[in-house]
Amino acid sequence: MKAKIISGIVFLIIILMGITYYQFNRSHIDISKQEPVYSISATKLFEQFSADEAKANSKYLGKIIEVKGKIYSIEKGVNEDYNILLMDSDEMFGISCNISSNEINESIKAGQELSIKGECSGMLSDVVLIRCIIIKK
Amino acid sequence: MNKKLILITILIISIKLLLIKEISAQEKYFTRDATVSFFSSTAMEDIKAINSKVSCVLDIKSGKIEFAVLMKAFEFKKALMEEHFNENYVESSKFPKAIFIGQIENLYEINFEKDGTYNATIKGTMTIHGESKEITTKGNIVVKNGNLILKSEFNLSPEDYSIEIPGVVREKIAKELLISLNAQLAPFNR
Repeated sequence: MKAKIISGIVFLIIILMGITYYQFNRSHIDISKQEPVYSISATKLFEQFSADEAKANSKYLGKIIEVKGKIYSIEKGVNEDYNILLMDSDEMFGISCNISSNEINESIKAGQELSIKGECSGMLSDVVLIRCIIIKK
Repeated sequence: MNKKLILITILIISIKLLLIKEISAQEKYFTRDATVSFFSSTAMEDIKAINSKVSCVLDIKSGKIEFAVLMKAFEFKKALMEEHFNENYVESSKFPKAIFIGQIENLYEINFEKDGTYNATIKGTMTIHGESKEITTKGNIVVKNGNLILKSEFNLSPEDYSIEIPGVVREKIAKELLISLNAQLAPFNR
């Protein structure tokens, strides 16, 4: 009986350690496999943020969203990353997306329309999306 | 008489050209993709987070410099650390931005029209987690082909900004975090 209790306790401890280890080393969610919470055009998203930033923050902050728009510029970042700016040429600011270099190929050019999925981290001069991926159509 | 007229015309044109040059001379530099990272090193663990979406505006005429940082744009290697950082420490839903507004103190020593590396001393107010503190930091500015690269490293203590770190994990996070900044600024044309 005593042995049973002890082995039960040991078993529980092992499970707890396993959960802790899993939690601690858990990797980030794979955005490519996540359904976007919102799907919206770049212009609309920017409008919502500039109209009421606090309201837009409570709606979008930390959420996975899919944004459709026109590439204004694509530039290599300091780290192994690229920055894509979605906006129309007559605008001042737009949606600024950080994207890993292995998502990028030569077919992605300024002027092109595309959809990007990423995590919304709020607004500075532009609305910022991080961990972006390009949605293949 | 004719000669005089030509001279006057030339004079007017050259004044106008000078004026145009004066107006078009670039004063504001901007980037939306500056990088800020922080590094915490203790015997227990090294923690690093990178944010590549920092915006920076520098007015080279007045020396005024501003940074805006979205707390939610810091990327950690481990998901759990990122969640703790956002939810428990910096409370990024409540305080989504950190802002620095400062001034280049030795502006007269920097020639923005001549390529080179210049030391800069920047003094200003840092606001993180709703708390503001005066800080002074040194860095350097590289002027190259009409663009600027600003780099700086300095220390920040979470406690200075009322960021409470519970006892259980206190030993895993350094008292002083090393902040590295890299901003590549281009003339702001619009």
